[in-house]
Amino acid sequence: MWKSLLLALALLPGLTAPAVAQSAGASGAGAAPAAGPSAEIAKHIADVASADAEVQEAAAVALGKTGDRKVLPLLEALREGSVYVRPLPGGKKETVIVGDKLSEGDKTLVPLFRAYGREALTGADGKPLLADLTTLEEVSTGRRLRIAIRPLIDAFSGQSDLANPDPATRRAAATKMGYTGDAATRQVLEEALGKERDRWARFALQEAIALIQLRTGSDAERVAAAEALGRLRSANAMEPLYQLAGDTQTPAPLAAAARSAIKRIERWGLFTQAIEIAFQGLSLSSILLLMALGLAIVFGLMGVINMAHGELMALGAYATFLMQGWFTAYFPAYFDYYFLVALPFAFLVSAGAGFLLERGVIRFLYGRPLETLLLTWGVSLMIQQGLRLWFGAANVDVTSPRWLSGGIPVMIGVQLPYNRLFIIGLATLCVGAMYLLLFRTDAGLRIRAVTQNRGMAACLGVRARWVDAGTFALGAGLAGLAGCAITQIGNVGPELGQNYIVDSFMVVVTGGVGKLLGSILAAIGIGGLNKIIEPGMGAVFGKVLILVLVIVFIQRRPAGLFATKGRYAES
Amino acid sequence: MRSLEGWGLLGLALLLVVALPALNALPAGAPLRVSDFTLNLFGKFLAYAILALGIDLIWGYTGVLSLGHGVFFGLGAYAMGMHLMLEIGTRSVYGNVLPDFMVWNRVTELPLFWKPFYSVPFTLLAIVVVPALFAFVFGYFTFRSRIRGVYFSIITQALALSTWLMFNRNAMNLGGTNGLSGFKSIFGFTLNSAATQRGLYVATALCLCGAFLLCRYITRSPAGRVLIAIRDSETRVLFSGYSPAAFKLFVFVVSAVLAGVAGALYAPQVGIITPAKIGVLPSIEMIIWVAVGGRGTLLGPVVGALGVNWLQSLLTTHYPDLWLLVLGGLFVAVVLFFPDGVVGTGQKLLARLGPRGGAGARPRGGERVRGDQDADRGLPHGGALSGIMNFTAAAAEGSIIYLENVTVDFDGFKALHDLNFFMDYRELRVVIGPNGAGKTTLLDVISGKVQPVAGRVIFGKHTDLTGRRENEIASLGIGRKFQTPSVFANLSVRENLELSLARPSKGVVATLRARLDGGQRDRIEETLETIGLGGRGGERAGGLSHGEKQWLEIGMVIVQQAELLLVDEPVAGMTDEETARTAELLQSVARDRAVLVIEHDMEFVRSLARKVTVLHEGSVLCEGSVDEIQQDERVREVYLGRSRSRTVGTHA
Repeated sequence: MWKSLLLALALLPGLTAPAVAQSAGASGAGAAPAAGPSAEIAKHIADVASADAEVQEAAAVALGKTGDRKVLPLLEALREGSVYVRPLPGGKKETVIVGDKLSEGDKTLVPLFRAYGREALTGADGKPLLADLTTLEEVSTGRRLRIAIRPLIDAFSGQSDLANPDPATRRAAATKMGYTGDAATRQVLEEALGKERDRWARFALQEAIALIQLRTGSDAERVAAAEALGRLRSANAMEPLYQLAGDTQTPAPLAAAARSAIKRIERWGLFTQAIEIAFQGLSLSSILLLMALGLAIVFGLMGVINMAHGELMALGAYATFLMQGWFTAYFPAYFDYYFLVALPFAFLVSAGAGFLLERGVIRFLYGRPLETLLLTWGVSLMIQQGLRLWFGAANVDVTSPRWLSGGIPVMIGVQLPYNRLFIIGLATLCVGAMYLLLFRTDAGLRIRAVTQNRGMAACLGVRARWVDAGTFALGAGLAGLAGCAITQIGNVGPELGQNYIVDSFMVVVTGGVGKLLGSILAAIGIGGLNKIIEPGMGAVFGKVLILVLVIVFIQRRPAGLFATKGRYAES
Repeated sequence: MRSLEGWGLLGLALLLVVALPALNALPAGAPLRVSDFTLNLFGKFLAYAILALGIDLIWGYTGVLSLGHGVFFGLGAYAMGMHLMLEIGTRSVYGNVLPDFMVWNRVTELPLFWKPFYSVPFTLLAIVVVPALFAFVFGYFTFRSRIRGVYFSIITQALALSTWLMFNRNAMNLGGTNGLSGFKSIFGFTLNSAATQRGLYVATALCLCGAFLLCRYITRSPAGRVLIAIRDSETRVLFSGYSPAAFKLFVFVVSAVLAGVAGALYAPQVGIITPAKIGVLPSIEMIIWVAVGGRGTLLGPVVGALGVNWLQSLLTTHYPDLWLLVLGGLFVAVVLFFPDGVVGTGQKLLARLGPRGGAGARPRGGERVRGDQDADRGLPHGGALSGIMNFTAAAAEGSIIYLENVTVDFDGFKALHDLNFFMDYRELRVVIGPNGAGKTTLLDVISGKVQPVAGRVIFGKHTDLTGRRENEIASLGIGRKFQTPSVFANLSVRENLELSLARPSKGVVATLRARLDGGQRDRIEETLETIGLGGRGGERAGGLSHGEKQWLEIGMVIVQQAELLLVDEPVAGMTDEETARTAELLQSVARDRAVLVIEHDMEFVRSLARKVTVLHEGSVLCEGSVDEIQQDERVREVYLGRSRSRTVGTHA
């Protein structure tokens, strides 16, 4: 992980150095490659091994321009530094690619591959040819050459990616080509644009074309490109536009166009940022809502302060982790579906734990909320420590299934990730289901009856104890679902529950105890506020501010958003 | 028994304050020598015990569960810690006058709020004042808006969380996550020496003794009884003329100060204070000390703090993984099996074994059960009352209560609608009406529980009651008896009356210092006779029967010396015999004051009333004698239209 990051950082200057973006030969589908290289290509292949850096570079660029896919391995090998020259009998030399090193005794042997098409060279016996590395002459590849090669390789891969059936791949390819491409690339992109039907791929193509135009076009073209980028509200164009606007060498009309484009893009950026914040807030709210829903049922309907609710959530998250492990071990082919199985599994695990908790201890404490608070806190400590002992104190890794990674682009610069959408959907579904259950079914009627008058309900034949246990298990199960959902957007560790419990209680008390609508609004309010304040003030201050706001709010309205007034208010 | 208890406590105090440090001062290797480590550990535990006493005061006695006391502990500890940091001076690692962490964080100048902590007196003051002020501000707004029960607990937990988050930030200039540490000396004495540590230990032990005595003084004063009363029935306390908010605030501040002092003693002994000590978990851990030891007793928190922490230090050295499991188990076990804790359970066992029986969980001095008047439980004649209640006899003519165009609106439902109502001095009035007519709301408006959206409520000559708080109105001379009996179950019958006595002031300080005079004592005894509970003053009120509780509550309103008594359905759930007695009682009470009774039982109404008011849909339908009312067409219509009984008969 670290290594790749460092690598990326090390590569970065190379990527952005604009000076060397020489040319990416992609002159279309040239001569159909025969089995062997044409004479021209063969000459370039020989020249690539030249000691003269300029000859080398010119040859590499020329190779790239041929558009022959069989030269791609050579270009890649040049970048990696695995191109060598081997002497042939008769004083001739051949450019070859070498494979992974093998050591045999004190000799280092390497398998040899043909430079054109990377076919393995075989010896007389038909076995792969191994050569002693010391007998080969290394082709030195300087930084300059490697930088020059990069767009060539990109053009090759870009071209094939532009024809990929997946629009997301096409989009990514176009964007990538826009950064490094030249006039030739632009042609390819324009051709692709002509055939493209997908809206977002079209956008990426247009953006890429304009970016290339901005770099390589005539003065008039560059002004048009800047304007086009402004129209496109291309966030990717911000950097080159800034450079143009800031550079005193830039012709005045171009600088003006760049500035107005920047303004347009910036305004759009604010807008998309707001949407993103709202969306993130909404998904955080959904998690809070799932948590608070369970809490609210148990607290509002049963008068039980369940401090172990967070740990029930953690149980759900760990259940998801377990399910992932089982799928990896036993059904690796169906790995992507583990999450679908994990959802009900997490629900059941947490609901089961909740059921045991209610039957085991909480049922002795009805009507004594402060006692349930202390008791469930004790239970939460035990569950937490149990998880720590069983799974270790470190966070465990839960991978998103493929169908939850990525997202839907809804407008320029805004992509809604599937996992967050899924969580919002799940929360909505749960709220709907809870509403139907509580207010539209017999079971819900029983729950509400026991809530309001246990004795009377029992007299009418409702089995109050089982309703209690069932309701508690239901609330716990919802926490389990929340835990399952959180694995997709957050860390899973033994302290998971602690991080959410106070927030969830804030939602419950702000919304008003036992008020479904209140809980929803409070969850949206607190979750949203969290995300709104965070960028400006930092996560900690944001959180503190929200806690303070909630405390102040409760002072003003001790019974929450939707207080019941009148004769039943006090009871 | 009392003196035995006293001697025991004195012995314990001497052991902690004198014997332990003396044993520590013995030369190394001597038998029975207490090691420096043990003494230091004990010093820490005793600091915790001070904190636990404070929590017991607010939770054990008053019933308010604060999950944020770690904050106050932290404020005290940080105040002390800041002074100790400054005392390090240039002896620090970086040799800078600034504390090391500031050098590390590239702070070049001492922040302004650090500067006063150079001064020793300021530091000592801050240890007390900062937690007190913080608790006062937080408590003032919280208690004033009547946040109680679990809401209070959750809010204080949020307080702990947000304070913890803030203290963790480097930008606060309080050392961030690493907190304050590396102290060298305290007030000039090297912290490294055994003598200084011993001195700190003795200071802590003395502070604990002081805290114990303070808590003892508070809980044994009438104010202490108010605290227990708040735990039992806050509403009743309110309608007895006390402001529960003021008492809760007082206790909250006292407990915050104790926590702050505990923190200040903790910091130099342990040598470090970090935000980890003030968060959500430590705050709730403190609760378990009190719970294990026994809440509502003074010895309990001390025992609990010592025991639980000793267990913790034992377990964390030998089985570190087990501690959280054991702690969690302690919570569960205490709540389920030992709600009284070690000391409480012990007391109960003693009480069961002892010859005196278990009259109350906490025997209080000066309380003797009178056994001489048990025989006659009947109600005395009015004559017995007149002596103690003639203070209202000289009241002027005119109406005692006058409601003008009063409207009460519950989210669009008008519980009272343009109501006009008045009563004469010393009148006994019964208000009837079908369900939802606004009867209870009428009482709520007069007693201040509900504020009208329009209209005036005039008491006596020209006291406008609108906008006043319940306890204020109660102090003005309006007593209220609730439909369901609300007495203080954990106090004795006599204490219930004592609490309700009219006092010149029912503020916190006045109540702390209040002592009964002879006249008041007599009045209580006479009232006990009046309500038929003569000789049973020592019993726990929670043990009375339903009817007896109702009478006790009426008695409480009587000793309150109210000029106007509001009585809501006093005979609901009573036997016929009890009903008859209650009617007698109310009539005798009404000789000297105005009484407003709400009742459904028409037999009872007939036995009581001279004048009856019928409410319907929030306004007065008609007024008159019982007979007139029963003849009234409109009344019949209202009742027939709304209830299934055919006439305004016995069960209207």
